[in-house]
Amino acid sequence: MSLDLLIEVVVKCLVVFVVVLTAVAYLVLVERKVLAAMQSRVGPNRVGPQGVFQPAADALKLMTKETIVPLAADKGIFLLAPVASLVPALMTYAVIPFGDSVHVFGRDVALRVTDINVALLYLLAMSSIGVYGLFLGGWSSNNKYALLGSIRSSAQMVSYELTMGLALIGVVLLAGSFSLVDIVEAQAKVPFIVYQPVGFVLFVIAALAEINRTPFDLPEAEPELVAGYHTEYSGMRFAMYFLGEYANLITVTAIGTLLFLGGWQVPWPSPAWLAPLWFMIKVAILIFAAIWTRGTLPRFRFDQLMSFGWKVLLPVAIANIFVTAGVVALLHK
Amino acid sequence: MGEPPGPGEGGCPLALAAFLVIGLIAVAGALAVVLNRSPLYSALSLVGVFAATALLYLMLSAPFLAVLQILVYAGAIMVLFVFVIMLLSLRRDEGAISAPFPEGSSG
Repeated sequence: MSLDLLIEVVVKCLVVFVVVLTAVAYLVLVERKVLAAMQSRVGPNRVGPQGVFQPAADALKLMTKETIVPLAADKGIFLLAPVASLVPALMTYAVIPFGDSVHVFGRDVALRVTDINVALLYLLAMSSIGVYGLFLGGWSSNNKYALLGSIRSSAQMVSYELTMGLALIGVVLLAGSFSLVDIVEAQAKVPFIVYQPVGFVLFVIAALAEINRTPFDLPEAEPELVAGYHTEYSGMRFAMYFLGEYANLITVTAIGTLLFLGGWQVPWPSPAWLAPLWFMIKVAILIFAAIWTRGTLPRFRFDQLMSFGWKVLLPVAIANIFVTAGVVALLHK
Repeated sequence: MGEPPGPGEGGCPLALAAFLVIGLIAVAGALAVVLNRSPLYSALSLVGVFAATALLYLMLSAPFLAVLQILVYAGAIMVLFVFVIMLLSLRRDEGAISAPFPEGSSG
């Protein structure tokens, strides 16, 4: 590996890391502001003009707080579980492409950290690994509310992971590839949301459940479970769960953008260096929709959640695969 | 980056070193699976073994196999194992199984 290639990769990793962490920090503020507007409140407005420095204040507060370990907790796992939740969430950004290649400093730089030909499977693998952080945290706290919250979250994630994977297969059938770059390039003319409307709806529902957001936020249903799996966490370890959750929100919206909305491509002509902007706008629209959902819908009951996942979403996802596969096979004849 | 050399003869020393480290992690994890007294620690060690195996597949230029190893074994099968261990509340492999929610266990 030559030196300039190494520098390029390191710079790209750093840029992605910094952008994602900043976006996550500000996503918390945006969510609070948008929810406040939807509920006729003001929202955070004390730190800086309109509260724009609130994330910095939150970070400072969380970093200086003491990490409290409950006496009956399993100490090693208790301290490691938040890390196991945050790391897979950040690892997904290694394969998410933000645009085509651009020409800077006399060389072509691809706007992604890496493009592997199994990128979509890698994303699914990382999201399934993320379950460990949740239920290890709940189990090691030795607290009945945390344990119940983590059991709920793992049952929910295992159930909806299946639907999410099956909903994405329709797109893979159309694009003929697991590589995210290939999938985006296959949508040059028409985004896949036109060909896969059922797949998109399934994906949105399963993704909301996968990242434990309303109306599927049963793992942290506060009237029943205090705060769910992270009841006993404080300080930076609580912040890690929080960061992981919001990083996952950006990840699933980015997957939705790449697979159904045409990624960085727009119908009008645009220079290559503007691609990340279009990509981020699409992701921002999906994130706003997720916050909107949270401001609108009440929470499911747990038995409703399970029967909905297994008896409605899963059969529909399988039917969607059969229909898509049949049409693809007929058109290829 | 080209073809990453396999861990055999003729591979570059960096690949050999990586192979040794990953192999040691896999073997140590496998021993930990058998020797741990807590079932949950055993299960987590097995997850470590799977991760190391996935890295070995990656070194052999088989990314599909590596991702499937993580997705199927570490992500699905071991989640089920750990889930059952958690539900049964098997803290130690020393006889009696305690009740799922013993008195005074809340924090």
